[in-house]
Amino acid sequence: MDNLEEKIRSILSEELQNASNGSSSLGSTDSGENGIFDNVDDAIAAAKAAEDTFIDASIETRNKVIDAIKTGFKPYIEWMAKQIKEETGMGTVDAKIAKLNNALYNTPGPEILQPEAETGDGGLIMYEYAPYGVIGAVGPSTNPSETVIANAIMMLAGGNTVYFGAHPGAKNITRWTIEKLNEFVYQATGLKNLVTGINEPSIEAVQRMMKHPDIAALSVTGGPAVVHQAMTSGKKAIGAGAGNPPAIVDATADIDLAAHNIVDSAAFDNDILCTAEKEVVVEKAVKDELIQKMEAEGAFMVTNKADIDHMIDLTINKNGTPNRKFVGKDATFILDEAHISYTGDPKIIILEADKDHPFTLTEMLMPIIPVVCCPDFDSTLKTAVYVEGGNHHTASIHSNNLIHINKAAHRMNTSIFVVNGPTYAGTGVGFTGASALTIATPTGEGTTTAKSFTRRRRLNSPQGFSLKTWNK
Amino acid sequence: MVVDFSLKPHIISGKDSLDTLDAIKDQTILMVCDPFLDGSDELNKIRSHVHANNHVEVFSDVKPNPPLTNIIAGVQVFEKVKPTIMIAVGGGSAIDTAKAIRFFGEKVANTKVACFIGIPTTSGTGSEVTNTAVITDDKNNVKFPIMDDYLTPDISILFPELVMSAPASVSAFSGLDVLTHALESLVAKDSNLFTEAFSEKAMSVIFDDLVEVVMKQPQNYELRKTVHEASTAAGMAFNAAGLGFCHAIAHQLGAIFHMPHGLACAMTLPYVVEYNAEHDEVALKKYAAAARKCGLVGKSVGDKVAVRKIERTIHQMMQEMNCPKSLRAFGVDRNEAVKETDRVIEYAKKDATFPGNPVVPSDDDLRAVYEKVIG
Repeated sequence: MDNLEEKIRSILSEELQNASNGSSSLGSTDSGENGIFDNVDDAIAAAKAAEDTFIDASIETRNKVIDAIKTGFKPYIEWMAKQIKEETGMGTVDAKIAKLNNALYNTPGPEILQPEAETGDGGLIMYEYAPYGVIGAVGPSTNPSETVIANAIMMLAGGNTVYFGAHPGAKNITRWTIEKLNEFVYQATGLKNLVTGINEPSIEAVQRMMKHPDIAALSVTGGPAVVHQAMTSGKKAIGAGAGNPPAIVDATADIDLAAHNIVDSAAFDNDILCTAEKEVVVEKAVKDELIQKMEAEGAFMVTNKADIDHMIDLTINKNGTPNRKFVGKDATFILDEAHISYTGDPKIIILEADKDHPFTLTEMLMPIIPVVCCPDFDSTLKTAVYVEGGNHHTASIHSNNLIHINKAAHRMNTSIFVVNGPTYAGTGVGFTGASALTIATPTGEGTTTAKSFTRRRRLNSPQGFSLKTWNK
Repeated sequence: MVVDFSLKPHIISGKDSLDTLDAIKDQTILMVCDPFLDGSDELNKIRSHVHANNHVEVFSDVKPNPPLTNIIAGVQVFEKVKPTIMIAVGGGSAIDTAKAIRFFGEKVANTKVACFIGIPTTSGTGSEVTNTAVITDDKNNVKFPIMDDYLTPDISILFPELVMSAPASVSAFSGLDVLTHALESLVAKDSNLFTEAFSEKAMSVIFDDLVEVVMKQPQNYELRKTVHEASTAAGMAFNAAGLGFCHAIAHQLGAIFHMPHGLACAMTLPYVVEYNAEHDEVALKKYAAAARKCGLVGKSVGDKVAVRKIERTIHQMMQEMNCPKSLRAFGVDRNEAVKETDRVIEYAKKDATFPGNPVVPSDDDLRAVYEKVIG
């Protein structure tokens, strides 16, 4: 062998002396493995480069991308639910499984982007829903993977690509979700970096993203400060803000159903959904019956004023925000920490409170639900509007009086209004309707779909077409 | 200046093309093929045409960018069996490996191969009709082209069934390689009327049929055959006319970023066409005339618009076949790509294909083209 190699090398050097030319080969330099980059600029640049290709891609390609996401995550749903619970310490695994299924399988794709057309003597006017470009998205820690999945499906369906600024409190599972998503999409289509993110998400990174020239639009879920920042960024912003949803129960309500729905929905993921019932406003005539039936559904009633005050001290910070230690925690955890004795396995904590009670006016995001009592329907509705705090986010009513229902639906003026049902129905969980993970109340899109992440474009063709007329 | 063009390989194409092998009797045959072909139905089909009274030795330790180590192993086999006939079956790497084994083997063993037969299994490399084998000295990380006219295969058998089952991405990349061979050879320094005829026809076939056969009709035998033949035609064109700096850059992209050769060519091609058309009047006219003949633009369309249409059509085809159009779209980090600029320029200028370009681009010109390829 050595001898032969020597011979061949001597032939090479003799005969190819002049013809030889060099080209050293080096290791692969594919940084940004599976959509995750070291810094914001690289991640956005990659999403921009991907968009330059994706913007021209066929609808079939978009469908392939979305199918790949839907089939790819299927075997991981339970594992993801557990990981989210473990990393964030919030909510319940069962609720997260339901929310992940909702995000994956109830989020419509490109099929909802149907054009509109007008025709007549002025020819054809057509409107189509076209992509913005790279969308900068910020998700909450309360729905980390669900938001990545639902936003990715909606935004990619619209022909955009996404840079995702993860919540630092859920960075590991967010990162995993982005990487997996890229893997599925790449395997199915060969496209890379349709959704990107960074290794170490931070507030600074989000601010840099909002100012980045290659970010065409923002989709921000978070507190008033970050939503305000997005809306004043000079870019198109889709902002999902806070809520404090009241459940109205009037004297005509089916109290069994109301009690069941409210407890079930407030207990769902330990009340961390921004849509979940955060307080009950009830007409005096049915208050006692409602409380009794809620207890039967698994609510634990705290009556001792000292206990209630102690809970307030524990769960609400000096500045009026809920204490993160208790956000999304089990009712039993809160009761244990407050040294309140209980029997059984309570799902939520209830108490009687007035309309200005801290538990009533704070978006607690934990299973503590004050019950506010009002003498008649008009004052009940007025109180519900008051405690909702002008967020215009979500509200529900339990009633069999059509006039009451209609009046409340109108006056509450919320993005989601649920009649005789759990408010989680408004997010798509378990019921008909598109998933609603990003509910854009301040900017008005409401429950967002692929359409919310597109620009409406108009085409005029005065010389044609109209099939119904010809008078040229 | 002389026009130099010969039609060496005897080309046999079609359903019954393998019958050619039936004539071989009482020979020692060294068959070189891609590893995945060894024992496959395809290879067995080919072997069934080789009469049993021949002695057949198969060498299948073929790797992409053929490394010298594998060629040495092949030469050992060559030395042992002293073949009178060589049959190379596979993609460009297999045929190049076979050529290199022949090149060294004949010298080491002091024998001659009477007949070298190339049977390509991809529609792209053109290696079955060229005089060149590009090999890599894996110990020193250097690529060598071995060029000698006697290395051109004596017979090329185009048996389209072999490419029918190629995956879409392979067909797309190799088809774009054909287009690059055609467009580069069309304007290359040593092009002449004969090579231009082959270049134009290959272009026309690729523009007309590639997307159709890759995306819609992979099982259409006639289309596969046409594209397969176009690949060989383009190979004949560039074998005589030369290539240009698109290949010079693409070779570096392949070495640095480990990307498929045809894809690297296609990413670079539109900008090289643009550059050549801007800097060389003859190239501009040739591109434009070819674009009109291919029906990309109407007869009355001006030269510059016609060339732009070529550039756009390449991008559109890549789009339709889901090929990334830039290094960034391929997933290469921009900063990493930028870091490689000087090396790409340095080695592109040393590449054997570089001198074929009709005009000599400056370092800044190469940098500008590479910058566009990064995206």
